[in-house]
Amino acid sequence: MLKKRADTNLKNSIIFTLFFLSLATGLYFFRIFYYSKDYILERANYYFFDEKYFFAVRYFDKAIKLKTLDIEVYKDYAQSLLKLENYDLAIKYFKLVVELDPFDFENYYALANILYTKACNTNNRKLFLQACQYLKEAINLNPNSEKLYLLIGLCYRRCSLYNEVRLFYNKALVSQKFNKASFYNLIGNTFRQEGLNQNALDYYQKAKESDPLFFIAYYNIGDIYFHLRDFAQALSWYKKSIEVNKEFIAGYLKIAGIYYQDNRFESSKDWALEALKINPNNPKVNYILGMSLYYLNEKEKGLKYLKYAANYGDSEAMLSLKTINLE
Amino acid sequence: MFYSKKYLFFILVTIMIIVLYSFIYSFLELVNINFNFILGFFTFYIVILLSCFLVSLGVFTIFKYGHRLILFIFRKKYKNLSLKILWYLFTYLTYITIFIIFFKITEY
Repeated sequence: MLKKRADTNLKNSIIFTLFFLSLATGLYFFRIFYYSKDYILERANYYFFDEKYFFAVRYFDKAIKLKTLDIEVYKDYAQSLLKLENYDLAIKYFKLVVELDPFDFENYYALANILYTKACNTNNRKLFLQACQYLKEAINLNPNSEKLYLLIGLCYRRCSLYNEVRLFYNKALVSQKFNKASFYNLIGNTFRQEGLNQNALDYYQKAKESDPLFFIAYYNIGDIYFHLRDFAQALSWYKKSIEVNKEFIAGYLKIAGIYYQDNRFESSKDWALEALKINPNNPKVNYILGMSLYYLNEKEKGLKYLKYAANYGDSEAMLSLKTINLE
Repeated sequence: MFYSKKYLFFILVTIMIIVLYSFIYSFLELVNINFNFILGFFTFYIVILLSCFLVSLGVFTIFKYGHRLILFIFRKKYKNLSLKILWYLFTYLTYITIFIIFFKITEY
Protein backbone atom coordinates (compact mmCIF):
# COMPACT_ATOMS: atom_id res chain seq x y z
CA MET A 1 0.00 0.00 0.00
CA LEU A 2 2.78 2.37 1.05
CA LYS A 3 4.85 1.51 -2.04
CA LYS A 4 1.88 2.19 -4.30
CA ARG A 5 1.37 5.65 -2.74
CA ALA A 6 5.05 6.46 -3.14
CA ASP A 7 4.94 5.49 -6.78
CA THR A 8 1.95 7.75 -7.39
CA ASN A 9 3.86 10.62 -5.85
CA LEU A 10 6.85 9.91 -8.06
CA LYS A 11 4.66 9.65 -11.14
CA ASN A 12 2.95 12.97 -10.41
CA SER A 13 6.27 14.63 -9.68
CA ILE A 14 7.75 13.46 -12.98
CA ILE A 15 4.67 14.68 -14.87
CA PHE A 16 4.85 18.06 -13.16
CA THR A 17 8.60 18.38 -13.75
CA LEU A 18 8.20 17.50 -17.43
CA PHE A 19 5.44 20.07 -17.74
CA PHE A 20 7.64 22.63 -16.01
CA LEU A 21 10.62 21.91 -18.26
CA SER A 22 8.59 22.03 -21.44
CA LEU A 23 7.05 25.33 -20.32
CA ALA A 24 10.51 26.82 -19.76
CA THR A 25 11.86 25.46 -23.07
CA GLY A 26 8.79 26.72 -24.93
CA LEU A 27 9.19 30.13 -23.38
CA TYR A 28 12.87 30.22 -24.37
CA PHE A 29 12.22 29.38 -28.02
CA PHE A 30 9.18 31.63 -28.18
CA ARG A 31 11.33 34.52 -27.02
CA ILE A 32 14.05 33.76 -29.59
CA PHE A 33 11.54 34.22 -32.40
CA TYR A 34 9.31 36.77 -30.72
CA TYR A 35 11.70 39.73 -30.46
CA SER A 36 12.32 41.50 -33.73
CA LYS A 37 15.75 42.81 -34.76
CA ASP A 38 14.40 46.38 -34.82
CA TYR A 39 13.07 46.15 -31.29
CA ILE A 40 16.37 44.80 -29.96
CA LEU A 41 18.35 47.52 -31.78
CA GLU A 42 16.03 50.21 -30.50
CA ARG A 43 16.58 49.04 -26.92
CA ALA A 44 20.34 48.73 -27.46
CA ASN A 45 20.58 52.26 -28.83
CA TYR A 46 18.39 53.59 -26.03
CA TYR A 47 20.72 52.18 -23.38
CA PHE A 48 23.84 53.13 -25.33
CA PHE A 49 22.88 56.79 -25.65
CA ASP A 50 21.71 56.78 -22.04
CA GLU A 51 25.25 55.58 -21.15
CA LYS A 52 23.85 52.43 -19.52
CA TYR A 53 26.48 50.22 -21.11
CA PHE A 54 25.80 47.31 -18.77
CA PHE A 55 22.39 46.84 -20.39
CA ALA A 56 23.40 48.06 -23.84
CA VAL A 57 25.87 45.20 -24.38
CA ARG A 58 23.17 42.63 -23.69
CA TYR A 59 20.98 44.05 -26.45
CA PHE A 60 23.87 44.55 -28.88
CA ASP A 61 24.93 40.96 -28.27
CA LYS A 62 21.40 39.79 -29.01
CA ALA A 63 21.23 42.01 -32.14
CA ILE A 64 24.45 40.49 -33.46
CA LYS A 65 23.13 37.00 -32.73
CA LEU A 66 20.13 37.97 -34.85
CA LYS A 67 22.65 38.51 -37.69
CA THR A 68 22.66 42.30 -37.76
CA LEU A 69 25.36 43.40 -40.21
CA ASP A 70 25.44 47.10 -39.50
CA ILE A 71 28.86 48.68 -38.99
CA GLU A 72 27.42 51.27 -36.59
CA VAL A 73 26.06 48.48 -34.39
CA TYR A 74 29.51 46.89 -34.20
CA LYS A 75 31.05 50.26 -33.38
CA ASP A 76 28.56 51.05 -30.62
CA TYR A 77 28.84 47.52 -29.26
CA ALA A 78 32.62 47.77 -29.17
CA GLN A 79 32.42 51.19 -27.49
CA SER A 80 30.07 49.78 -24.83
CA LEU A 81 32.42 46.84 -24.26
CA LEU A 82 35.30 49.27 -23.94
CA LYS A 83 33.41 51.27 -21.30
CA LEU A 84 32.97 48.03 -19.36
CA GLU A 85 36.69 47.31 -19.84
CA ASN A 86 36.05 44.13 -21.79
CA TYR A 87 39.03 44.88 -24.03
CA ASP A 88 39.30 41.52 -25.78
CA LEU A 89 35.77 41.59 -27.16
CA ALA A 90 36.02 45.31 -27.93
CA ILE A 91 39.19 44.65 -29.96
CA LYS A 92 37.47 41.76 -31.75
CA TYR A 93 34.56 43.97 -32.85
CA PHE A 94 36.73 46.93 -33.81
CA LYS A 95 38.84 44.61 -35.96
CA LEU A 96 35.59 43.61 -37.63
CA VAL A 97 34.72 47.28 -38.14
CA VAL A 98 38.14 47.88 -39.73
CA GLU A 99 37.60 44.92 -42.04
CA LEU A 100 34.15 46.15 -43.06
CA ASP A 101 35.23 49.76 -43.54
CA PRO A 102 38.98 49.89 -44.26
CA PHE A 103 38.94 53.47 -45.61
CA ASP A 104 37.95 55.33 -42.45
CA PHE A 105 41.00 56.37 -40.44
CA GLU A 106 38.83 56.86 -37.33
CA ASN A 107 38.21 53.11 -37.19
CA TYR A 108 41.94 52.40 -37.13
CA TYR A 109 42.41 55.07 -34.50
CA ALA A 110 39.65 53.63 -32.31
CA LEU A 111 41.15 50.14 -32.59
CA ALA A 112 44.66 51.41 -31.85
CA ASN A 113 43.31 53.35 -28.88
CA ILE A 114 41.80 50.20 -27.35
CA LEU A 115 44.99 48.26 -28.01
CA TYR A 116 46.95 51.04 -26.35
CA THR A 117 44.65 51.07 -23.30
CA LYS A 118 44.89 47.30 -22.95
CA ALA A 119 48.65 47.40 -23.48
CA CYS A 120 49.00 50.02 -20.73
CA ASN A 121 46.96 47.87 -18.33
CA THR A 122 48.88 44.70 -19.10
CA ASN A 123 52.24 46.31 -19.97
CA ASN A 124 52.29 44.28 -23.17
CA ARG A 125 54.89 45.44 -25.72
CA LYS A 126 53.32 43.36 -28.51
CA LEU A 127 50.05 45.21 -28.16
CA PHE A 128 51.77 48.59 -28.30
CA LEU A 129 53.45 47.56 -31.56
CA GLN A 130 50.15 46.23 -32.89
CA ALA A 131 48.56 49.60 -32.11
CA CYS A 132 51.40 51.30 -34.01
CA GLN A 133 50.66 49.20 -37.10
CA TYR A 134 47.02 50.32 -37.11
CA LEU A 135 48.06 53.91 -36.52
CA LYS A 136 50.45 53.78 -39.48
CA GLU A 137 47.50 52.67 -41.63
CA ALA A 138 45.45 55.54 -40.23
CA ILE A 139 48.21 58.07 -40.97
CA ASN A 140 48.43 56.78 -44.53
CA LEU A 141 44.71 57.41 -44.90
CA ASN A 142 44.78 60.79 -43.20
CA PRO A 143 48.14 62.46 -42.55
CA ASN A 144 46.42 65.57 -41.16
CA SER A 145 45.10 64.24 -37.90
CA GLU A 146 47.17 65.32 -34.89
CA LYS A 147 45.78 62.68 -32.52
CA LEU A 148 47.25 59.91 -34.71
CA TYR A 149 50.79 61.28 -34.32
CA LEU A 150 50.31 61.82 -30.61
CA LEU A 151 49.09 58.27 -30.02
CA ILE A 152 51.72 56.60 -32.19
CA GLY A 153 54.32 58.63 -30.30
CA LEU A 154 52.96 57.39 -27.00
CA CYS A 155 52.96 53.77 -28.20
CA TYR A 156 56.55 53.87 -29.43
CA ARG A 157 57.66 55.68 -26.28
CA ARG A 158 56.22 52.87 -24.18
CA CYS A 159 58.36 50.48 -26.25
CA SER A 160 61.39 52.77 -25.79
CA LEU A 161 61.69 53.11 -29.58
CA TYR A 162 62.62 56.78 -29.46
CA ASN A 163 63.89 57.03 -33.03
CA GLU A 164 60.49 55.87 -34.27
CA VAL A 165 58.78 58.39 -32.00
CA ARG A 166 60.91 61.21 -33.38
CA LEU A 167 60.31 60.02 -36.94
CA PHE A 168 56.56 60.45 -36.56
CA TYR A 169 56.81 63.71 -34.62
CA ASN A 170 59.04 65.06 -37.39
CA LYS A 171 56.47 63.91 -39.96
CA ALA A 172 53.88 65.88 -38.03
CA LEU A 173 56.20 68.90 -38.06
CA VAL A 174 56.78 68.59 -41.80
CA SER A 175 53.06 68.61 -42.49
CA GLN A 176 52.97 72.17 -41.02
CA LYS A 177 49.39 71.63 -39.87
CA PHE A 178 49.87 71.42 -36.14
CA ASN A 179 51.29 73.40 -33.26
CA LYS A 180 55.04 73.21 -33.88
CA ALA A 181 56.01 74.11 -30.33
CA SER A 182 54.08 71.14 -28.98
CA PHE A 183 55.87 68.66 -31.25
CA TYR A 184 59.31 70.21 -30.65
CA ASN A 185 58.59 69.85 -26.96
CA LEU A 186 57.57 66.21 -27.43
CA ILE A 187 60.77 65.47 -29.32
CA GLY A 188 62.67 67.15 -26.49
CA ASN A 189 60.92 64.83 -24.06
CA THR A 190 62.12 61.77 -25.97
CA PHE A 191 65.71 62.98 -25.79
CA ARG A 192 65.31 63.66 -22.08
CA GLN A 193 64.00 60.12 -21.56
CA GLU A 194 67.13 58.85 -23.27
CA GLY A 195 69.29 61.02 -21.02
CA LEU A 196 70.44 63.23 -23.94
CA ASN A 197 69.98 66.50 -22.13
CA GLN A 198 71.75 68.75 -24.65
CA ASN A 199 69.58 67.52 -27.53
CA ALA A 200 66.51 67.89 -25.35
CA LEU A 201 67.54 71.43 -24.48
CA ASP A 202 67.92 72.28 -28.18
CA TYR A 203 64.41 71.10 -28.94
CA TYR A 204 62.90 72.89 -25.96
CA GLN A 205 64.61 76.04 -27.19
CA LYS A 206 63.12 75.46 -30.64
CA ALA A 207 59.70 75.02 -29.04
CA LYS A 208 60.14 78.26 -27.13
CA GLU A 209 61.27 80.11 -30.26
CA SER A 210 58.40 78.86 -32.40
CA ASP A 211 55.87 79.86 -29.74
CA PRO A 212 57.11 82.18 -26.97
CA LEU A 213 53.87 81.61 -25.07
CA PHE A 214 54.45 77.87 -24.85
CA PHE A 215 55.22 77.85 -21.12
CA ILE A 216 55.78 74.06 -20.90
CA ALA A 217 59.04 74.52 -22.84
CA TYR A 218 60.34 76.99 -20.22
CA TYR A 219 59.34 74.59 -17.48
CA ASN A 220 61.07 71.66 -19.20
CA ILE A 221 64.26 73.69 -19.68
CA GLY A 222 64.07 74.46 -15.97
CA ASP A 223 63.70 70.73 -15.31
CA ILE A 224 66.85 69.95 -17.28
CA TYR A 225 68.87 72.50 -15.30
CA PHE A 226 67.34 71.13 -12.11
CA HIS A 227 68.48 67.66 -13.18
CA LEU A 228 71.97 69.07 -13.85
CA ARG A 229 71.84 70.61 -10.33
CA ASP A 230 72.16 74.15 -11.75
CA PHE A 231 69.48 75.50 -9.43
CA ALA A 232 70.03 79.18 -10.26
CA GLN A 233 69.31 78.53 -13.95
CA ALA A 234 66.45 76.20 -13.09
CA LEU A 235 64.84 78.88 -10.92
CA SER A 236 65.10 81.49 -13.64
CA TRP A 237 63.43 79.19 -16.21
CA TYR A 238 60.68 78.15 -13.81
CA LYS A 239 60.05 81.82 -13.11
CA LYS A 240 59.85 82.47 -16.86
CA SER A 241 57.22 79.73 -17.21
CA ILE A 242 55.16 81.47 -14.51
CA GLU A 243 55.56 84.82 -16.22
CA VAL A 244 53.97 83.33 -19.32
CA ASN A 245 51.24 81.50 -17.44
CA LYS A 246 50.43 82.88 -14.02
CA GLU A 247 48.15 79.91 -13.22
CA PHE A 248 50.85 77.28 -13.83
CA ILE A 249 51.02 75.70 -10.37
CA ALA A 250 53.82 73.22 -11.22
CA GLY A 251 56.19 76.16 -11.76
CA TYR A 252 55.42 77.65 -8.34
CA LEU A 253 55.80 74.24 -6.76
CA LYS A 254 59.23 73.65 -8.29
CA ILE A 255 60.45 77.08 -7.17
CA ALA A 256 59.14 76.54 -3.64
CA GLY A 257 60.78 73.09 -3.67
CA ILE A 258 64.19 74.46 -4.67
CA TYR A 259 64.09 77.14 -1.95
CA TYR A 260 62.94 74.55 0.60
CA GLN A 261 65.80 72.19 -0.33
CA ASP A 262 68.19 75.13 -0.01
CA ASN A 263 66.84 75.80 3.53
CA ARG A 264 65.55 79.22 2.43
CA PHE A 265 62.25 78.68 4.22
CA GLU A 266 61.01 82.26 4.05
CA SER A 267 61.16 82.18 0.22
CA SER A 268 59.76 78.67 -0.04
CA LYS A 269 56.85 79.75 2.20
CA ASP A 270 56.10 82.77 -0.03
CA TRP A 271 56.13 80.70 -3.24
CA ALA A 272 54.06 77.95 -1.68
CA LEU A 273 51.51 80.55 -0.56
CA GLU A 274 51.35 81.80 -4.15
CA ALA A 275 50.75 78.23 -5.36
CA LEU A 276 48.10 77.77 -2.69
CA LYS A 277 46.13 80.65 -4.19
CA ILE A 278 45.82 78.61 -7.40
CA ASN A 279 44.98 75.28 -5.78
CA PRO A 280 44.48 75.14 -2.00
CA ASN A 281 44.03 71.36 -2.10
CA ASN A 282 47.36 70.45 -3.69
CA PRO A 283 49.03 68.07 -1.19
CA LYS A 284 52.59 68.86 -2.30
CA VAL A 285 52.09 72.61 -1.89
CA ASN A 286 50.57 72.05 1.56
CA TYR A 287 53.52 69.85 2.49
CA ILE A 288 56.18 72.41 1.47
CA LEU A 289 54.25 75.22 3.14
CA GLY A 290 53.75 73.16 6.29
CA MET A 291 57.42 72.22 6.56
CA SER A 292 58.62 75.77 5.79
CA LEU A 293 56.37 77.17 8.51
CA TYR A 294 57.52 74.45 10.89
CA TYR A 295 61.17 75.40 10.39
CA LEU A 296 60.27 79.10 10.67
CA ASN A 297 59.06 78.28 14.20
CA GLU A 298 55.41 78.64 13.28
CA LYS A 299 54.87 75.04 14.35
CA GLU A 300 51.11 75.15 15.00
CA LYS A 301 50.39 76.61 11.57
CA GLY A 302 52.89 74.30 9.91
CA LEU A 303 51.34 71.20 11.45
CA LYS A 304 47.93 72.28 10.21
CA TYR A 305 49.17 72.32 6.60
CA LEU A 306 51.10 69.09 7.07
CA LYS A 307 48.00 67.31 8.38
CA TYR A 308 46.07 68.66 5.43
CA ALA A 309 48.70 67.32 3.01
CA ALA A 310 48.73 63.95 4.79
CA ASN A 311 44.92 63.76 4.55
CA TYR A 312 45.25 64.26 0.80
CA GLY A 313 47.64 61.31 0.64
CA ASP A 314 51.08 62.96 0.54
CA SER A 315 53.49 60.27 1.75
CA GLU A 316 56.25 62.76 2.65
CA ALA A 317 53.80 64.69 4.83
CA MET A 318 52.79 61.46 6.59
CA LEU A 319 56.42 60.59 7.23
CA SER A 320 57.23 64.09 8.48
CA LEU A 321 54.25 64.08 10.84
CA LYS A 322 55.38 60.73 12.21
CA THR A 323 58.92 62.07 12.81
CA ILE A 324 57.61 65.25 14.43
CA ASN A 325 55.37 63.22 16.74
CA LEU A 326 58.32 61.03 17.74
CA GLU A 327 60.35 64.13 18.58
CA MET B 1 7.22 16.65 -5.15
CA PHE B 2 9.56 13.68 -5.21
CA TYR B 3 8.68 13.05 -1.57
CA SER B 4 9.41 9.36 -2.01
CA LYS B 5 12.73 9.99 -3.82
CA LYS B 6 14.14 13.22 -2.49
CA TYR B 7 17.57 12.75 -4.08
CA LEU B 8 15.89 12.86 -7.51
CA PHE B 9 14.57 16.33 -6.72
CA PHE B 10 18.04 17.57 -5.83
CA ILE B 11 19.57 16.06 -8.98
CA LEU B 12 16.95 17.75 -11.17
CA VAL B 13 17.25 21.08 -9.38
CA THR B 14 21.05 20.97 -9.70
CA ILE B 15 20.79 20.44 -13.46
CA MET B 16 18.25 23.26 -13.79
CA ILE B 17 20.41 25.66 -11.78
CA ILE B 18 23.50 24.77 -13.87
CA VAL B 19 21.59 25.70 -17.04
CA LEU B 20 20.24 28.86 -15.42
CA TYR B 21 23.64 29.86 -14.12
CA SER B 22 25.31 29.35 -17.50
CA PHE B 23 22.91 31.97 -18.94
CA ILE B 24 23.83 34.39 -16.17
CA TYR B 25 27.53 33.60 -16.44
CA SER B 26 27.66 34.31 -20.18
CA PHE B 27 26.12 37.73 -19.54
CA LEU B 28 28.52 38.46 -16.68
CA GLU B 29 31.45 37.55 -18.91
CA LEU B 30 30.17 39.99 -21.50
CA VAL B 31 30.12 42.86 -19.01
CA ASN B 32 33.59 41.89 -17.79
CA ILE B 33 32.60 40.51 -14.38
CA ASN B 34 34.81 37.47 -14.18
CA PHE B 35 34.92 34.91 -11.45
CA ASN B 36 35.27 31.18 -11.04
CA PHE B 37 32.35 29.35 -12.70
CA ILE B 38 32.19 26.53 -10.14
CA LEU B 39 32.48 28.83 -7.14
CA GLY B 40 29.85 31.15 -8.59
CA PHE B 41 27.58 28.22 -9.34
CA PHE B 42 27.78 26.86 -5.80
CA THR B 43 27.08 30.28 -4.33
CA PHE B 44 24.09 30.70 -6.62
CA TYR B 45 22.88 27.15 -5.85
CA ILE B 46 23.15 27.58 -2.10
CA VAL B 47 21.51 31.01 -2.15
CA ILE B 48 18.52 29.72 -4.11
CA LEU B 49 18.00 26.56 -2.05
CA LEU B 50 18.62 28.25 1.28
CA SER B 51 16.34 31.20 0.59
CA CYS B 52 13.59 28.87 -0.69
CA PHE B 53 13.96 26.68 2.38
CA LEU B 54 13.81 29.64 4.77
CA VAL B 55 10.77 31.13 3.06
CA SER B 56 8.96 27.80 3.04
CA LEU B 57 9.89 27.27 6.69
CA GLY B 58 8.41 30.67 7.51
CA VAL B 59 5.24 29.92 5.58
CA PHE B 60 5.04 26.50 7.20
CA THR B 61 5.38 28.02 10.69
CA ILE B 62 2.65 30.57 10.01
CA PHE B 63 0.49 27.80 8.58
CA LYS B 64 1.14 25.59 11.60
CA TYR B 65 0.14 28.20 14.16
CA GLY B 66 -2.80 29.32 12.05
CA HIS B 67 -3.94 25.74 11.93
CA ARG B 68 -3.57 25.42 15.70
CA LEU B 69 -5.56 28.59 16.27
CA ILE B 70 -8.39 27.47 14.04
CA LEU B 71 -8.53 24.11 15.84
CA PHE B 72 -8.52 25.94 19.16
CA ILE B 73 -11.35 28.28 18.11
CA PHE B 74 -13.50 25.42 16.89
CA ARG B 75 -12.50 23.34 19.92
CA LYS B 76 -11.29 20.47 17.81
CA LYS B 77 -8.65 17.98 18.84
CA TYR B 78 -5.10 19.12 18.05
CA LYS B 79 -3.48 17.31 15.13
CA ASN B 80 0.21 17.78 14.36
CA LEU B 81 1.01 18.99 10.81
CA SER B 82 3.07 16.63 8.71
CA LEU B 83 6.58 17.68 7.59
CA LYS B 84 5.46 16.55 4.16
CA ILE B 85 3.80 19.96 3.80
CA LEU B 86 7.12 21.70 4.46
CA TRP B 87 8.76 19.56 1.78
CA TYR B 88 6.01 20.35 -0.71
CA LEU B 89 6.27 24.04 0.01
CA PHE B 90 10.03 23.93 -0.40
CA THR B 91 10.01 22.02 -3.70
CA TYR B 92 7.27 24.06 -5.34
CA LEU B 93 8.86 27.30 -4.20
CA THR B 94 12.21 26.18 -5.65
CA TYR B 95 10.58 25.43 -9.01
CA ILE B 96 8.77 28.77 -8.98
CA THR B 97 11.97 30.67 -8.09
CA ILE B 98 13.93 28.97 -10.87
CA PHE B 99 11.14 29.75 -13.32
CA ILE B 100 10.97 33.42 -12.30
CA ILE B 101 14.74 33.86 -12.67
CA PHE B 102 14.66 32.10 -16.04
CA PHE B 103 11.76 34.30 -17.11
CA LYS B 104 13.65 37.45 -16.19
CA ILE B 105 16.98 36.55 -17.79
CA THR B 106 15.45 35.50 -21.10
CA GLU B 107 13.38 38.68 -21.24
CA TYR B 108 14.53 41.50 -23.55
